[in-house]
Amino acid sequence: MSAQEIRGAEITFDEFVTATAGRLLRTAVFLVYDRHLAEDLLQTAYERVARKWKRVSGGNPEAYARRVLVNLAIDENKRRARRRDTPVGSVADVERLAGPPPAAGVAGGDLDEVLRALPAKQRAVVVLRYWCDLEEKQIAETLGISRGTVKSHTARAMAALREHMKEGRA
Amino acid sequence: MNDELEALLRGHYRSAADHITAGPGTVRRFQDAGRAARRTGRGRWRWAFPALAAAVTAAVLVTIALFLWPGGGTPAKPRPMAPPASVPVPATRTPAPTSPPRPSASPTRIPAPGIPQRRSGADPTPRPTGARDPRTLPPTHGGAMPSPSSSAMGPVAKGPRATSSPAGGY
Repeated sequence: MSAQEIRGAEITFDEFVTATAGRLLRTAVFLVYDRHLAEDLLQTAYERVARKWKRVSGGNPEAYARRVLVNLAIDENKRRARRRDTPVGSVADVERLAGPPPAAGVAGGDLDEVLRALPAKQRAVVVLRYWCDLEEKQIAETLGISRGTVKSHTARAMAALREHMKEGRA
Repeated sequence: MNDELEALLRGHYRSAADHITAGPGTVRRFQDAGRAARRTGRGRWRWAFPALAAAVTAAVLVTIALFLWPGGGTPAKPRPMAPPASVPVPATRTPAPTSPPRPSASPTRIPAPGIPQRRSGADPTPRPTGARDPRTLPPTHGGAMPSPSSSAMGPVAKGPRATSSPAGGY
């Protein structure tokens, strides 16, 4: 995905949105598991990018937009966790969009359940690592945390998923 | 085990992403939101400079007005509380109209511009500079003439000073 990232120096904001809306919307859906909320968060991220377009467009506007989006999603997940609120969408939304489970032995819905149950930052690290294909350093920059923290978040998330896989096979 | 889990996650995200797309309506919504945000951001600072300029202008005008206002800014010059000593004190001395005007060492000698020069034969009674003409004053209940504050100490205060002036005693 990083190879596809566009540089903003020679494009307008509208072109940038057209080129990145799909990728960033998928990232948002994987982060919050709610299509409507994902669209709202992405819209907020685009608004923030638009306000700083002159400054951002010279560098990597997609990375900036992704950073804003991920942090918005983490804040939203934390807010929901505090309120013990349930999202409007459900795992079935992603399950339905994802189609059949990708691997035998583990149902996609179950995997989504495990991913959704992860703490906000762990889930963000997993999405950035395995969907956006970012390296540890880039993930640390995106989330504003150290590389060591990225490693620990990744290790905990993988441990939870491994546990889930063991249960699925048993 | 870890490689298998990573492959599982990547496959899961890819298969789900195929079904999450941003339609033209969604993209247009993001573009409109970005444009609106840029307009709002510009509008927020649109009146900043005029407002600042107006505030600075008002502050300068107020400062100038305070300095130019009578009695404002610099301490007021001492003004005589009583008629100048050149005006004759009743029953003690008459003005010498033939005496040439000499520069006075004391500022109290300079006749106030508001006091008309008396000619010989005129009423020698001194009038306080700050008092109104008694003829123009409305009658009071007691029938007593209002005593102006400056007239009470004027002749009394001026008596000794008049004698020590070079024009009078020397």
